[in-house]
Amino acid sequence: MTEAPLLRVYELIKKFGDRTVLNGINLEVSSHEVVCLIGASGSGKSTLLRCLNALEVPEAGSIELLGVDLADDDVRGELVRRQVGMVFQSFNLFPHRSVLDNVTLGPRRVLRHPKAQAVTAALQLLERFGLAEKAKDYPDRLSGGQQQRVAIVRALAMEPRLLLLDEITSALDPELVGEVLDVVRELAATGMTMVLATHEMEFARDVATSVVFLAEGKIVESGPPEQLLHDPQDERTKVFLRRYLEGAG
Amino acid sequence: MASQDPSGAAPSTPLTRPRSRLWKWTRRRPRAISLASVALLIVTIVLVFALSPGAQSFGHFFLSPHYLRLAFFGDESQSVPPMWQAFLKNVGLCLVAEVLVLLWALPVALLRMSKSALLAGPRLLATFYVDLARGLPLILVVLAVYFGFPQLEIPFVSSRTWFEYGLFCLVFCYGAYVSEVYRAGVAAVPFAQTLAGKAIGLNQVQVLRYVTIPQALRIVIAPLINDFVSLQKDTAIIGIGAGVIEVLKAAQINQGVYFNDTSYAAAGLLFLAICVPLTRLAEHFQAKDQELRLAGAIQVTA
Repeated sequence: MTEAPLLRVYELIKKFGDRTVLNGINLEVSSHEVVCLIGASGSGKSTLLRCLNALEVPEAGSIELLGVDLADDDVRGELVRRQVGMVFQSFNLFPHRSVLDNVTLGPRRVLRHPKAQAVTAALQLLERFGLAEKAKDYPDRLSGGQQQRVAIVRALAMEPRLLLLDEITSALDPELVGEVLDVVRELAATGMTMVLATHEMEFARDVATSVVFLAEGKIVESGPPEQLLHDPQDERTKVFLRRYLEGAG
Repeated sequence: MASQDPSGAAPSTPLTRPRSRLWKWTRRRPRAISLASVALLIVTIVLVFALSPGAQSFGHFFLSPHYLRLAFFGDESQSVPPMWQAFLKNVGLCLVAEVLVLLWALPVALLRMSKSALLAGPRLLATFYVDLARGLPLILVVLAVYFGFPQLEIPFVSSRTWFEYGLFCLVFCYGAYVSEVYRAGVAAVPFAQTLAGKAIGLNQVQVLRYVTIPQALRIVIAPLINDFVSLQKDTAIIGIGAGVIEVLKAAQINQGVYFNDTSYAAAGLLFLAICVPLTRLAEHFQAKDQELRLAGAIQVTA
């Protein structure tokens, strides 16, 4: 008997007005898997991620998370997001709170952990990712890479079952990309289940258990990274990847 | 094009155009020039008043030190009330009103921002109230309340003191303005912050409390002080409907006794003494907010 997947997406459709952004997505993610979504801007990667943590409500199809259909009336977005962390392209740290207060806000107010416990746990996490000495600083004093690492720590502090990463290196200067990707590599190595949208193909090949290529709101092709990135079957995937390889020079 | 010279001396517009001597002079001695500029302004104003045909009678009727003293400190023999005392009533009214305005505007703003279908009725009411209160001149509200409420003969409502009626009018009008300030402040916080708050599991109320409102506060503080200044000035209108001797009423009594208008100047000075520093304070906060924005402490990008 195989374990039921952590997440099962079935025929998902999401529209913004007349525009269909997701057009029948099917996807399964099991525990400890790392699924990389690739595809051009506007292909629906971000929207799909936002549907997975109930920030967006799809028009049709279903999302089953931990055995629960998210369309159920009794499902609360905030309860879903306790277990599904998300990191954004533009960091979105709270500028009025210190690094430590950014990280402890969720554990203290959502999980109702006592302050001392939340602070200890947060400091441990910050320490683990080399950010301990930044705990008292405000986000504007940090580099982009540091801010994004703090944002990851903020999501991890909630001890999520699933972590969604939405192009988390796209807003970074090239020399800062590495430190953020290293954090994700480490998380992958420790078995964190992740779905991430990325343009870093090398990185996707390293960490992904499967890669999914999206175009115009549909999954064109998916498979293990070696196969999808080096031997794509669909013409559109080939064109997309060729452009990336040329871009990488 | 053939005229392009690869050596770099391509034909282009010149980099120099002669500046005027005045410009160069100003640039060299900015302090002296700005002092001279201010002096010129003051001299002009003084001259305009001093040389006007009615300068002497204007000075006597509006700027007489003797009547200014009488206005400020009153005259018991003529039963003229001291204006500084009357002004305290304006200050008290405005302080109590401000506290109530800040409180009352919050539920109004929250209601206007709500999206729940359940609150559609109250939301419509709140919108109607804000339109009404912002559209009506305060003086009309004052007249309606002072003359209208007692006539209603509703047990509690119709037998209030002038102070309570005055409070009601100010809170009614300014509550609407301040609720809009709150709303604009919350709207000015990038939506990405709300998303980030939600993403760590905060519910709607928690997002407002821990993420949006703390950031909105810094944005609204300057406009709030501006509204407070207006409210302070508008306490002068409250005296119209009531038998209360606030500062404008006191000035009128004074003017009626001495046939001298200096008391109005006195009232003006009293208001200025409070309002000008407050306005400076608002500008200070605005400048600080701007500074933070430029320093990038407030994320402007979504």
